[in-house]
Amino acid sequence: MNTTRNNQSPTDELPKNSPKQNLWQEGLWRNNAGLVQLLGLCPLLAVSNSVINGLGLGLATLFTLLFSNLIVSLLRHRLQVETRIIVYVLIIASLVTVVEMLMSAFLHEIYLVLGLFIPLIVTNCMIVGRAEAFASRNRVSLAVIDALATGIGFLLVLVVLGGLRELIGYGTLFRDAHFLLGEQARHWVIEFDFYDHGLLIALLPPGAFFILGLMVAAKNGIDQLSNRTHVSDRTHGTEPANLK
Amino acid sequence: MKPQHLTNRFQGGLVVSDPTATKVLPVIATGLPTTVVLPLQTSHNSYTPNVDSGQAVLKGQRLDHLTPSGASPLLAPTSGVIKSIARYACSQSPGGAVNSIIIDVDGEDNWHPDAQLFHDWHQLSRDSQLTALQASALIGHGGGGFALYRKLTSATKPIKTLIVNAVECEPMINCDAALLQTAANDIIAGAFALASLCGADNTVIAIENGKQQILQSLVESLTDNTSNNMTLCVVPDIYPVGAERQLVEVVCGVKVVAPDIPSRHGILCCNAATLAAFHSFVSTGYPSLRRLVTVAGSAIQKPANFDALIGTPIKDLVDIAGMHSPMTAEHSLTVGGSICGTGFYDFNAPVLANTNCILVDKPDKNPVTEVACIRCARCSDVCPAELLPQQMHRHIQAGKPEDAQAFGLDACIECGCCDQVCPSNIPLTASFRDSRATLRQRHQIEIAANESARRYDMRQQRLEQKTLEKNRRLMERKRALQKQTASTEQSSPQRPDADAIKAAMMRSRQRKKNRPGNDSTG
Amino acid sequence: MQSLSAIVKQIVSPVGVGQIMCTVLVALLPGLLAHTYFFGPGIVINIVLCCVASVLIETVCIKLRKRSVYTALTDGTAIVTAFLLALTLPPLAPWWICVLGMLVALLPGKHLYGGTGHNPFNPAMLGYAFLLICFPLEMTQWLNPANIPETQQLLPGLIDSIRITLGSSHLDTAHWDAITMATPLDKIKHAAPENLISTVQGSQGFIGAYAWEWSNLGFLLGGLWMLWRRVISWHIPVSVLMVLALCYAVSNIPLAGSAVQVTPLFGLFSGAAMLGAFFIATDPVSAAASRRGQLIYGAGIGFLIFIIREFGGYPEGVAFAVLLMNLTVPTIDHYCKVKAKSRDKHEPG
Repeated sequence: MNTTRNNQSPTDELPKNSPKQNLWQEGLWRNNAGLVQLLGLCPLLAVSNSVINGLGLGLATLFTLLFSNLIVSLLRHRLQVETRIIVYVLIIASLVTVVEMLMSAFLHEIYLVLGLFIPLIVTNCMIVGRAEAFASRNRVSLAVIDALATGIGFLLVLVVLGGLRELIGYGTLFRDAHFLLGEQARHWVIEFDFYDHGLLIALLPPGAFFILGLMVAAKNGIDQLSNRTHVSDRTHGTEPANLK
Repeated sequence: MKPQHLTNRFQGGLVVSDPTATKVLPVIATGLPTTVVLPLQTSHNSYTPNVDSGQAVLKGQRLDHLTPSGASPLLAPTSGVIKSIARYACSQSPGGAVNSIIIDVDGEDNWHPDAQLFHDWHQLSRDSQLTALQASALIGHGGGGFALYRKLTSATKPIKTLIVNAVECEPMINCDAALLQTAANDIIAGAFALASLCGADNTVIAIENGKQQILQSLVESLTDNTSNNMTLCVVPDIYPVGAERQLVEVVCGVKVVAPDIPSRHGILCCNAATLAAFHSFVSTGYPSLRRLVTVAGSAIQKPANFDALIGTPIKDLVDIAGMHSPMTAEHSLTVGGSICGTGFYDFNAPVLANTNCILVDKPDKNPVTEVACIRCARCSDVCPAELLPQQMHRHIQAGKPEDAQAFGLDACIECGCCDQVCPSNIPLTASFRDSRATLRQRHQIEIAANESARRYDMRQQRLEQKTLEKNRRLMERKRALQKQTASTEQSSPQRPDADAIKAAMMRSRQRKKNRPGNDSTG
Repeated sequence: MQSLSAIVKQIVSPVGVGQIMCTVLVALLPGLLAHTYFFGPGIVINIVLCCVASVLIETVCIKLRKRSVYTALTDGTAIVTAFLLALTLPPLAPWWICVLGMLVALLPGKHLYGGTGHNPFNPAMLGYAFLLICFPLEMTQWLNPANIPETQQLLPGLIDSIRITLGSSHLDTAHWDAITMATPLDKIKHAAPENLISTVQGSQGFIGAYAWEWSNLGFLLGGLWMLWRRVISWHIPVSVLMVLALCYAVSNIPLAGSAVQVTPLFGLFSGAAMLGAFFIATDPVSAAASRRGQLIYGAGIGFLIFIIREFGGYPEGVAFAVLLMNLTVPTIDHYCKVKAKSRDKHEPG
């Protein structure tokens, strides 16, 4: 949560920001794909039961998003209105196949854990959404920044959600880190001695829904709080940024 | 005459044990009040006054403009001077106040010369009887306030059965019981007259179980007026058996669900007090402008039935009945019976033709608190209209009365049974009443909007027609002109006005040259 | 007017929400007594723990929501939830199971939805489902019924029970195994096909599962009393039990493929069938509103109980059946708008 919270301070000065800074804020906090748009919930809820799983899927999604935005933005003048969705899907599907094969080759354990959810990245609305809403209308540099911001925002949500679920469900953090980060990470696991039993429900999909719901509530709470201080700071008060 | 005991039941309802049921309160005649208030908007009628403040009116004088729909007129209940036409308290309006005519009573009580509508009822034709009935402004005394004339004319089938509703199943209301005891003959005579007017073959007088005293007096009166086609029925004492549709179901076995009405099934159901008023109208030719009102409640010293002029402020009656302690804002006023009456706050509101009961209660020491609905479905068990009050309540709470309509909000008879059994003390009936008022208001706005849209369309059409007409005429004139020109051209090749035009052009050129400003351009 | 309400309300008893809930609690007593007789005082400890937790949680929630604590506590719904949850928990369950269950039952189950009268799910069953998913081991360890011929072990007494519940006295595994065993439904579920008949016969009491039949009878008695007191209507319990019995009857027909060998009577008098039919499914807030809808709702619960017992992963399915049917209530209500129609006896049509 810490990382995401840091990005919230600059929201106050939205009007003065450059479009690039704006993109970062949108992707990481204000219009976060996981917490605000609630896109890509299927992988978000299904596999995020540990930090490493969340990180793995987040990175795979980030990679796909980055290259799909890049390619779509490059091709944006050649796309036909009628066939654009098919082209997006083709691009994304090819990229996902690449990711899947790469993961199968180099990160086989995590590939086994994530299983079906890697090919399912194709259907992640967030990726098609960014391609349609942003990459097909903007120049390459902006599209790349947008992909990074959105992807990292999504990744952070996945990691935080995975961390919370792992903490509640297993009582650990960073278990199985060696799946993703190599053999030296095997001992990174932090075990907390809270209780004998983990709350199994946190590892199951219902728990994921509960915790994501709490995270969305927390995000809204933080926004409300910052708005309140914001408004009281400037009594003549311009409209708070995230109510635009 | 042997009364017939009916055991039929209707769905829902409550068995209410009313300790006051067997006691008939005394009837007290009241003199003329000093002021009379006539609301211009009641639940079924709205009037446009044809009088102004300062004008003197006579008893029985018509105070409103004729409306084409055949609504019943507004009659002055006594003579006096119109003090003002202004907003005044009224127990029948959801907002608590409507525009009303306020009359300062002069105490003369002089009839208007046109007030007597006929001399001999039996010599009138049926049509003129109906017209006279409409002009008499006789409104049902039971509570619904529906004009008797409208009830008669809304029948789509010939009326076969006339039910005299002498059932007074709601606790605390006593005026019909008093009337039955004192004027049973009037009611029976009224029933005969109405039966012959509407052509009913048989007449049923319905009275609820457990009122021996009144039953006795009715039986005696009926033995005096022997008749084959009049029966006396004793119906089970289940509230609200006195409601029109429920009584029809018990007596005739015909289930009538709103918006259907009994008269479409050949049944006319009339309150006993209405029939007594009808009798007084038929026998004198003068409209009946008084009614019996029960004034009771825990704060009233001497509960009684008052023979009051319609339009008398409630306060006057309460003053006569006397209160245990001086009136305060905490005293609760209920207009109507103790179950389905509406709570009201202004003692200045007038008695209307359908005001049967006024209850004044002591301040409630431990008022009940409303808690959330737990959907126990008791309300739907007792609902005589077979509705699901808990579901309607849910939708109304969600701010969607139109969704409650899908659950039959319009069929609610506002009997108040659901309020009585609700364990959460939710004032369901009041919320239904309010929602219906809201919906009605919305509907009226919609009608008005549609009307203005229609008018706009008509205007557009008219304008279009006008333009078309204009164009057509222009074309005609043009064609006529062309024809004319053609004919003149034939006669002389040089047009007669061509010279004139040339001359005019020359003149204008000349003028331009002579203009002084022209030099600067050159 | 006040005096009149009193008159009317004497006829329709009981009067307020609080009194209705009190009646429910009283109706639970016979079943609770049978339970205590066969499974020891553990269940009473459960109830005390759940009640204390429920009052505390309810108070905090109501304070946070800035409502009247007095009104919320006196309506008794929280206490009924506590009783129902406690009755479904195994005796001698650790104290934190009770507290956690109540927390889930009241927080997400009730107050997140807007408190009493607004919860779409039965709070007690939500708490139970949560516990069953999280702690399958603790939640399926039932005690041996007292005086069962297989073991002559006496149940732990009150003091021992309290110590076990609070975790200050750890029973060694052998002792624990000796006093606990699977419920009859659990045994039947996991019995090998060749042992099925003997397993069913082994757990057969007079009419239902041994010992369980008595608590079920107790709940049936309480349920009938509630019916008589008009706290509940017959529609839901009757349709639940009828459909459940019907399912067992059909499944016993050899042609149906799976010969279950459990008689309808055994099915009705084992597990939480009676508790579910009379006390849990009849929770008015989360049940269907119209009488016709209630019949559909009850039938769905009965059917799902059978399906889960026979084919599901858990030996007993009341909680999940109720929760699943709770989900369908808005749909049922939508299609069951009762509307009366005019009818004329003399002139049909």
